[in-house]
Amino acid sequence: MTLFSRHLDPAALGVAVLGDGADPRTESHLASCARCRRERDRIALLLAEARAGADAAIDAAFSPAALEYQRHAVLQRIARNGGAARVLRFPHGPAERPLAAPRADSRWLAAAAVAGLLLGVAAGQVPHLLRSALATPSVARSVAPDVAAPVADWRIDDSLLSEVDAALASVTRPELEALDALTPVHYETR
Amino acid sequence: MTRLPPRGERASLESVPDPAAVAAQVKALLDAGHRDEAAERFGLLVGAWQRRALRVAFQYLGNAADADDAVQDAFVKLFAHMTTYRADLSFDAWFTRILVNTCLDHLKARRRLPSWSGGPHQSAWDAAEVLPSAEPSAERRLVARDRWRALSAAVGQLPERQRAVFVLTHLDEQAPQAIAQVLGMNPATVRVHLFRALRRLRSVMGDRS
Repeated sequence: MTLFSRHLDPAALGVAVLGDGADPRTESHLASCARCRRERDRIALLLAEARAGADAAIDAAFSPAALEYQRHAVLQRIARNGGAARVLRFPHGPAERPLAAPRADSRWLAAAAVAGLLLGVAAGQVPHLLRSALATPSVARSVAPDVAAPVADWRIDDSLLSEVDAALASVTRPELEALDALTPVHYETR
Repeated sequence: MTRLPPRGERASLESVPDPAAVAAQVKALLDAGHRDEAAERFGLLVGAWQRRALRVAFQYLGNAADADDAVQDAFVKLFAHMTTYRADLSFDAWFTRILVNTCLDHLKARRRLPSWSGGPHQSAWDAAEVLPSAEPSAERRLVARDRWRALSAAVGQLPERQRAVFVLTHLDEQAPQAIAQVLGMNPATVRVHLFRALRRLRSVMGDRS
């Protein structure tokens, strides 16, 4: 209620509706003014309708299933956050080191890198050295089958020729004598 | 004095075995190292408070997707800080403060992004368009929808503190004393902010003076 008006300000009525009670002056005016009571009731209804509209919009946007899904999502995020916190730790060591420490570290790193390189080169030579040291037996092993094969062939040939000689010496076939006469003997070819 | 009738969420909250006691149990379980059990218990709080939280976030952010994100973030923050919960303080005020701050963070983040669609309340209005009309009176629901659309748009233009006070008194039905705890101001200041907010909403409320 202002100085020059006989009725309450709608905002004051709104405070009376939404707040936890009207102040004594407002209460006394409402008790005696029907118009302001009607106005207060109108504002109360309007606010109640607006709130019902908000509730209906919430109901439309969030079904019970959606609410349950949201609850589940919250619990999943909580579980995930807990797991992540145990795994990921923020590093806090380097801040306490003196300023010169990184340079010393870098020198050690360079020395270690050179040593590693030398070791790598040396290690790379080891197979070659081993290979040369074991060269003879390996050649022998690889050659042995080649030597054995001619021996076997020679024996086969020798036995075959012996059989041929024996057959020629023991068996005389008249039908072959003419052919034999025409065939030069080895001492005749010299 | 005309007071808005109690709604389902308040009733359901009261049916939960004292949220402050549940919060104290969650804190005790966390202190004892039983994190999984604490999270399971915390699920009760989420189920009891999420709809109320969504109503506040929906009013602040204007669309369902952002409200969903903000409410999830608020609950995750709440759990992360449960070890600091003090049973002598109001759990209701504590959670509401986390929720409002989270909504404000989302609003700030959204202002930094370019706007690709309509205003922030467009989606909320779209959601209202699909309201089922089988409830008591389709006409009343239409009226309610229009009231809320108009009021929601106007509330979005209020200064931050006035908006917080109005949303918490209107949609969350909190008394000035409780809001004073949430927002860190005295109850008289809450009343002043509420009065100023209602003055700015006068055109929406159909000022007949």
